[in-house]
Amino acid sequence: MLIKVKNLRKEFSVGGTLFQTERETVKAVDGISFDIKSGAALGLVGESGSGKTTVAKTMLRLHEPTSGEFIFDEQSVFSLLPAELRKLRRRMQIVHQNPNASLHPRMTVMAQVSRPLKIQGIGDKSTHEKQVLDMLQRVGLNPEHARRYPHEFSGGQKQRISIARALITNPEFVALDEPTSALDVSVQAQVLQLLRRLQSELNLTYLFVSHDLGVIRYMCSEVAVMYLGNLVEYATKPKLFANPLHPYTQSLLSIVPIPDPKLRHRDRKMLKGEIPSPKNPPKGCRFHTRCPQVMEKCKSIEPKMKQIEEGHQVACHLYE
Amino acid sequence: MEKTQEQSSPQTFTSRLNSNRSFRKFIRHKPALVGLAIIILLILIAIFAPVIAPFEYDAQDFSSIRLPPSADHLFGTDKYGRDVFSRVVYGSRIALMVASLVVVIELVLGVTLGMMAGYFGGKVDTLISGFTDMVWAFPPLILALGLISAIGAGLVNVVIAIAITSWAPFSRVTRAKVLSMKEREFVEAGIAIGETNSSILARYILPNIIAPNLVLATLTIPAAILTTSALSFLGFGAQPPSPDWGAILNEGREFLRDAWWISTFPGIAILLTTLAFNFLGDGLRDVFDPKQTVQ
Amino acid sequence: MTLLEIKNLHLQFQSDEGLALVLDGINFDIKKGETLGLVGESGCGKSVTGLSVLRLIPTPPGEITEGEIIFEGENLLEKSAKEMQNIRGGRIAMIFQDPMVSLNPVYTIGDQIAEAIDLHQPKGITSTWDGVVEALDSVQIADPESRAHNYPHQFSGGMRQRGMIAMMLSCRPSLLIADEPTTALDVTVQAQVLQVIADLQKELGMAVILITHNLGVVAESCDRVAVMYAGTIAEIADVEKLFENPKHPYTRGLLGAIPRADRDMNDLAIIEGSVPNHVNPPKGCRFHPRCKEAMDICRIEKPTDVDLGEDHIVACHLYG
Repeated sequence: MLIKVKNLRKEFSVGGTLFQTERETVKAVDGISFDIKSGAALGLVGESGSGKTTVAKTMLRLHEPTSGEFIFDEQSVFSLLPAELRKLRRRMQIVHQNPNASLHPRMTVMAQVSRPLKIQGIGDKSTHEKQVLDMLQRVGLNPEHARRYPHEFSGGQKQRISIARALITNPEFVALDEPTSALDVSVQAQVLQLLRRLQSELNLTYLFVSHDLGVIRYMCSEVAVMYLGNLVEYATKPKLFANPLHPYTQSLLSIVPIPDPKLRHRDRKMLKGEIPSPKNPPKGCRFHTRCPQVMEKCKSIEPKMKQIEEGHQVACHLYE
Repeated sequence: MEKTQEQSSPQTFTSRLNSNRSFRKFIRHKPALVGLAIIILLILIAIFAPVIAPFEYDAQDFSSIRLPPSADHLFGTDKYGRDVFSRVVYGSRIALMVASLVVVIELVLGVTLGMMAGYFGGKVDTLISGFTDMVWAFPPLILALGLISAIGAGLVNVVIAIAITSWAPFSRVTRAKVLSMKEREFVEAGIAIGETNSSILARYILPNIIAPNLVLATLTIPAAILTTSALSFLGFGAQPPSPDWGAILNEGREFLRDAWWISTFPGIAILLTTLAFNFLGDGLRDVFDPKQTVQ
Repeated sequence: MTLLEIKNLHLQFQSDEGLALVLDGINFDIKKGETLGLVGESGCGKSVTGLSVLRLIPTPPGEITEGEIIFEGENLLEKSAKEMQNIRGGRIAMIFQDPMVSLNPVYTIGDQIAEAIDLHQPKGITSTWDGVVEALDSVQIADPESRAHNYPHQFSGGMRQRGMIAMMLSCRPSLLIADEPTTALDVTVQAQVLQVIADLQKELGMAVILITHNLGVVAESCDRVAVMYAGTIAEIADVEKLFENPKHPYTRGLLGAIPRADRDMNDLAIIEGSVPNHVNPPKGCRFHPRCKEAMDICRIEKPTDVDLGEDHIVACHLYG
């Protein structure tokens, strides 16, 4: 296993000023565990407020974890000193969601893409330029693009630049945080295809965060479904899509719009209400307020993750 | 290999439009252009003061005391027979020097503290923000007067006094901007590639907080010039024979009835200069700070 | 029976870059009670088409230079500002992606619905307040009596959107223009909102123009679909025909580019490049630089609408 996450928690405290000392705690991620094999792609899917992005950013220590462990190639990432962490960053990278915000507006493409090489002390000045040009070509950009600034590019091209910057140090692990959700369908297809090609060419390990089940299905080999800071189901892709066990996963799969009018009258498991605030999550199973199959014990006892068969885990009292 | 052949995409179209729009907005802002013109003129006058001024600013001539404006003495002469025009021309050097020194000190103090408060947050933030608010709560002129009575009169002390009583807004503006920049994804991406804190602050955040501070600086210059003049007028600032506008104004005060020109011309210089900076500041704010303008 | 007919609509915007031809002669109609999907990528002109119908294009810089918008037999482009005000929110309603555009934060939801009712005096409502409660009830807001006293910020995202729908539909319009009504919402909430629109449509017998970039949503809720590209309509057909037998190369590419949640896909269709700008659009067919089947004529001549029978219209030289 290249990636092992154990019992990861991340709490944010909100409020709290000089005079108002009481702080509220938001449990954005509340104890989740998963592994990713080298070369695999784990999809992390959930609605807004589920904590999926926080998982990725906490793993990369862009947020400091509250507790838990992240073992990356047998190193405990959360106990690294700042200098050690900086060194490890060449091996794990992130691609952000918003192409318009994730590039430095005042650096040329050459400057931003070569920056990780400089920081990590890889090669020297003379080799950087060639490395960057090679990488730009790999992600489908031209050498002429290197001298330009981000605002001269379209959203899809900006996302390619972000990808180039993330991959220039030849990392093994890349967290992709909704990398195509801001793009048009036709451009999304280009970028997804690129990401898939790069994964096999460079033997990358992906954590792919998305709210789009179609994108997850196209990109990932394993899927973890999140709801309000918890993992509710975790399975290999074929198992999850063919046989979803958790009522939440079942509902998601039944209501996601399918571009085929003939499937219009299929059975849909509609959910009531909206995802509750993570400031004040429901007791017991966090999904019980919206669950169509809720039982008495769901309201008080939190279900544990349980392996149902090889490669399929679910946290639900229905399967006990 | 998929190639992207788009030449001009919608995004590049709008962003190019934006940078052009900033420039165009500024060009269309007439008062700002007038202000800029006056400031450029003032800088030229200050640089070429020895060429422009017909006399030395401290050249006394007791044969021509308190002469009204004439072809020889455009702005007349004062009680020592010094040419007021020459004094006002040389005075521009003092005004600009004071203004730029004050702004530099304010910027260094305010931006440094604001960046630390915004970036590190927590206790650092509480401490710096509390201190900033405290300084801000004092009226600058009174605080400056108090400081000067402690460290003594003189132009340099005036500059120090004004600067350390008026950096607070810079700290506030910087802190707020840093707080929003810190959340930006490209700053996070910088951390993710292993940038150090100092590099994040210098390379990623600093370049993006210059604009609002520039606007603020332009808008505080008039206050700095006015306060300098006020302190000189009260006798705490520039000492004779220094041609500070406030000092000239003060010297002419006793002759206001029979030699109006001594006080009037430096007064007009102060007025024009402060107005010019205000106009320019307003224009820059419209361009850089869309929140204050109706779009 | 035709409710709305748009004929040869041309819309241009004066921009710093020059004159942008945002709509380049579009034609479509919508029958009573029907749902028409207006689908396309960013910048295709789908939103401005909706705004044009309500004459909400800011003039200047925008200007409708040619064409007719016939609604219930009358040309809306010839109406006075006052007459348009009565039509807006009365016979034609519009909802937007961000409901806060239409909701005033300082008034309660109930007051705002009441104002809409008082303004347009729809038939069949006994008292204003009953109308308010009924409207909120019709969009499945639980406990409408007390919820009516809430301010918009006390509503969640999905409830705001439903509140806005309640406000817009309280006057029983014959046409609803919904501009990306569910784009900002989570998939479970999107399903609820689409359901509410569909139910109300059946009840009120109104027609709906659903503007969206999501072909899944179109497949699930529209009767007919118009695919837009760069200010033109590429193809219009019944929803089943369009998805089963798309004729325009752009439609085909778009449909193949969607990663689907209901089946595994080996490859996505790739449409190279991205959407052109409006100031210097490609000559001839605006899609030709990205079209895999482009012929010589496509570079010179703008294709005309070709009727393939049974209301299937395509603007492509392949069929001309």
